[in-house]
Amino acid sequence: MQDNELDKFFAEQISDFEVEPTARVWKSIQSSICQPPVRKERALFQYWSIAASILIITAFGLWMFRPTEKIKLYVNDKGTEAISSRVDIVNPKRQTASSEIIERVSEIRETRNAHQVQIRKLSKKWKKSREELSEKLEKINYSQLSLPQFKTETDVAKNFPSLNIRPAMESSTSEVQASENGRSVRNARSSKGIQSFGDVINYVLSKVDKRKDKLIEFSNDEEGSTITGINLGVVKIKNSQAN
Amino acid sequence: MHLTHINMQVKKKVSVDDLLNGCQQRDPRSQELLYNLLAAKMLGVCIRYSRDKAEAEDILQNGFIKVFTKISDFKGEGSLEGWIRRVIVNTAIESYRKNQRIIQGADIENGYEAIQHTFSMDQLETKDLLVMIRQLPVNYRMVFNLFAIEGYSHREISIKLGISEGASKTQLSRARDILKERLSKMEGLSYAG
Repeated sequence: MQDNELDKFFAEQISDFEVEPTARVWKSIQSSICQPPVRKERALFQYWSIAASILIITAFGLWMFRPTEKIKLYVNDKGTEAISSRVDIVNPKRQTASSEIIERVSEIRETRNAHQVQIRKLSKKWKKSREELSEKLEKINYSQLSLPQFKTETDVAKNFPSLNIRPAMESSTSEVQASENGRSVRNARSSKGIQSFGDVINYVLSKVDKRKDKLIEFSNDEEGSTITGINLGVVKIKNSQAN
Repeated sequence: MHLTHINMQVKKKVSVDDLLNGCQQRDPRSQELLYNLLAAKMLGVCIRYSRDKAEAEDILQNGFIKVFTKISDFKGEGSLEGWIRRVIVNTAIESYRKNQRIIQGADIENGYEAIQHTFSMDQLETKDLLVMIRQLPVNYRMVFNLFAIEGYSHREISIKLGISEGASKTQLSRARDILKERLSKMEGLSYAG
């Protein structure tokens, strides 16, 4: 048999040979060719879920940090109307809270006003009484000291302008006497006794500190006690005008 | 069996080429019809390239998966059946080359098995011829199948199998020698019987 004949013989006999495959083959083929679309669907679902979650997160973020007009709590002369007009009307919770705040603010405002009136009254009273007191004291001092320098009304008026005494005539000796009068005033102050916190400090220091200029020196004026001198040895501050 | 055979014949009237469009659009019905039309024939091809039916079915399965996934590559050159057949053969070659790396020619020695049947040349059935081919050493079987039955050239075979053209020629002549010897043996036996 020739080579070609052999090949031909086999080809003719075999090439049309058919065998029925088992059902398993088609099932395997089917499952593997059906996978791609399933995967596609899953991928599509995943994309959708990613997109949805991003949307939810951004929406939540926007809702949380949404721009709202700041609640400015202030009271003007027209009362609380101005406040309520500025309150965020989107959030009812916030609105009720703000109305409470408004009520409280107006309450506070009323009490504050009442207090202010009281304070004003008291301060007026206090000033009056202080003036009266100082007037009295000066009068007492004047009479007690009975210095020979105070011979005319002019002298008195110069040294105690608060008395508001209109001098009847000018004295030529007033300038010369001024320094002596100043001293007398200082004496008068030291003899006034303890009237304020500054006086307490001054008293204590006068017992402890024997220097001419004390560690700290207070003097009384209209507004109360003020520091008029500090002596730290090296640093000395003295308000000469006050004396 | 008889019924399914008739069924197959009826289905063949729906030609393979009619199913091309549906398969290209991945229509499951068309895919199943195409498989039903060609599975038995293609398994007949696969059997020539394999030692047993299970191996043949594996080739058939992988081959058809390739057919369905690559069917859009088919440009209508020649018949669809011819193209599918080439895909199946290529799958068989791939399978062979994959196995070859594992087995490394251990097949050559135990490839021989005496055929126990006695039959005359005219009594020879296709099955017996198939058995002869399948019992060839695996590399001889590949070359003989591709050259004698598929009609590939030595150059094509050398490329497909990754061997030299010379090796292809020698393996072919060895395969022929074995087959001739077997045929004459059977003839002798049949004459003796």
